[in-house]
Amino acid sequence: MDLMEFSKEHLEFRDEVRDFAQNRLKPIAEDLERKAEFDYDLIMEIGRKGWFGIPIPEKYGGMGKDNVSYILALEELTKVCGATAIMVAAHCSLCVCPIYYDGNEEQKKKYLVPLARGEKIGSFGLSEPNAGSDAGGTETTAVLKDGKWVINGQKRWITNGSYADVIVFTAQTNKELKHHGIYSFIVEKGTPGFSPGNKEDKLGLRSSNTAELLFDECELPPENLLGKEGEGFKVFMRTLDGGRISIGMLGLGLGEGALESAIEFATTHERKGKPLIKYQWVQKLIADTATELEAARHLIYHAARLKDAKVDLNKEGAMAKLYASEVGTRACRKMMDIIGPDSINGTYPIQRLLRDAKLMEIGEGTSEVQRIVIGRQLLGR
Amino acid sequence: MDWLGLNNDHKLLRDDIAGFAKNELEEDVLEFDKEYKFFDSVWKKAAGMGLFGFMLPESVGGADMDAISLALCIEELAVVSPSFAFAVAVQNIGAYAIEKFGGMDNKADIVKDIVKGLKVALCMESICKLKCNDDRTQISGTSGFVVNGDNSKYCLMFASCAERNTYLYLDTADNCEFHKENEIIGMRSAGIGKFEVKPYAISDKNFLQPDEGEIEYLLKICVSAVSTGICAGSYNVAIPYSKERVQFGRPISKFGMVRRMVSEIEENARISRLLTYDAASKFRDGDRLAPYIASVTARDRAMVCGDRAVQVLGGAGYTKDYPAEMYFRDAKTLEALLYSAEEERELIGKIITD
Repeated sequence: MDLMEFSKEHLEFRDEVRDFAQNRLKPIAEDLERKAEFDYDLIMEIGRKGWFGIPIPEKYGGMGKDNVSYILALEELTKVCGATAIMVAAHCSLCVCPIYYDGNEEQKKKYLVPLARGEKIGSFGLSEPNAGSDAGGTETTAVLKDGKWVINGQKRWITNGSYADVIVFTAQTNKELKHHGIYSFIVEKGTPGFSPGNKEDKLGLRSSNTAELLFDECELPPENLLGKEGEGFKVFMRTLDGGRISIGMLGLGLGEGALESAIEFATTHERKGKPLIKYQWVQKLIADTATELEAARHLIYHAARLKDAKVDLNKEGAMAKLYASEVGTRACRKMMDIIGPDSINGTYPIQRLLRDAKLMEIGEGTSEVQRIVIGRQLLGR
Repeated sequence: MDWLGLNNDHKLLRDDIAGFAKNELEEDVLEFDKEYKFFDSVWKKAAGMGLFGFMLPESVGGADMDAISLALCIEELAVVSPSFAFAVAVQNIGAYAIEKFGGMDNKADIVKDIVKGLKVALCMESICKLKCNDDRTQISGTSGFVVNGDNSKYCLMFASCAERNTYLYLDTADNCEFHKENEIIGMRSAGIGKFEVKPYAISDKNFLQPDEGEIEYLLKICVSAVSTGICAGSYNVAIPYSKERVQFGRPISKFGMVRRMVSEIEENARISRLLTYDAASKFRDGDRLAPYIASVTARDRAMVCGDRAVQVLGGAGYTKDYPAEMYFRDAKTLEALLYSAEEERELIGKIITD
């Protein structure tokens, strides 16, 4: 029984996503992984369902649902295909949300509406070759010249990078001001001087696209500045607060997917003539993993509710992401032990879940960065 | 003797193998991993160096060394390529098992072949699914996860044969077909695949004589050595990266949380190494507990080390530009191929309490 106070509407929506995940996504997830190619048609199909803008008001092209609904949807997608889920999460949490929270009315009409409606794909360019954990160390520059922003530099590890139509990204306008000099901008695909670069060859999430973004004398009009001047750092910090919940959910969902397949395996297989479920080591692994996942799930939905209540969730978001992502990876690893040797070849998808899960401890702030965030909240700066 | 109880010969051997691994394996290891390729040309050189007969008598071309020497060699190879090390381990286990417990008339020739580099595959107890017929005259079936099976000439298969579970010797030229595993998560250069055995006539000579678990102990020692190598390899990729990678104006090795991860890798490498050598030094005494404990612990620690290496490298660690993620996958493969830690702990508890 799920006593987590989900409304009837929540559960109905979850069932709708679950139906898609189980019947449309699950049968092709392994194939997507093998091909290691971004499936544009599939992604646009998800977009047409409205799931690119779940927590965005209807007047901006979204579904007008809350963040809990959004996280519920990610949970269902992730259990089946982490790569598809992270595509949706990067689009929604990292591109749609900052435009919704910080964009002006014109930007919302121009960019947010088609992004939320699922007509366009969004992305977020923050990390750089020399600015990973140290996001304030952004080296991409933006210089105001003849009334236009001229952008130069390189982004790396950008989810949806090669395919995005709209990208929110950060650039340094004045190195001396350090992170106060970082502004957020919007760039569209096809803008002269802007192009996606090399794709990453990754451990997991292989059908999600992770690419470089290259800026070479790219000119942007002043209206492409997102948020007030000098508040770019705030924009992306707030963006990450929300994004962390989704990445935490991805880690958790992968762990939940692993638990489900291990339970299915254990209840239908024997070891040395004895049903697997009769072994106490199996019972222990299942019990420990389920308990950890349940605890992580409470942290995740707690953080999602805080976001819906529009209160500060800097600490809670970081805690949820830290715990859920570590638990998710551990769950995948341990559940593979129940399945045994067949867990490591293509027989079961569980090895893909493990490889996918590891990214959740790294992306959108490593576990170490989450610990710093939490520590700051508890200990002061 | 140093803290591990190694003598001078051991140290010379270790340095030799480390140099060999660096020169022969390092350059291609990432590419071969991506392509599931076996190190064929290095295999020949390894045979030339005598790496396949560590514990065999000199009469069959062996080096007549101890289990610690074998463990050292496997560890040093695994630092660079856990896959190659695993294949070399299997070759040594195969040669040792056949020499000591085989009943074949041409045993000496087979062992000499193996020492010279003709490959012997191994299908271990934890996974082998082959069965004999009731009067033990024929065996058939398919078993996955045979290690070092690619182009192998001989094979040791753990089989259930009329109440008797033991290793069987097969000549792969007869009725055996190998199908390479193309989707395995790790150990992609260890020649792992499925063995399909069509009805194969066997006699008592195919059975290895009862060995009180010695093959299993040697396997566990070798797997622990590969695991230790994974820890050391993780160290080799994480430490230089942490010193070069600058964030917040200084190398990340200056930060407490990164230092902690680096420490975790070294702690775990030492724990694995100590337990591996402990088990290896007790091999001749037939100590049952030491190899079990080494295998449970070292495989777990290898997984931790691979994971920490990926984490120290962050986004870079998640890509195939560095071997960190390979160690992570290879470690997971060792966890899955032998009995899992939790399962094995029940066995250890049984050994202790029975």
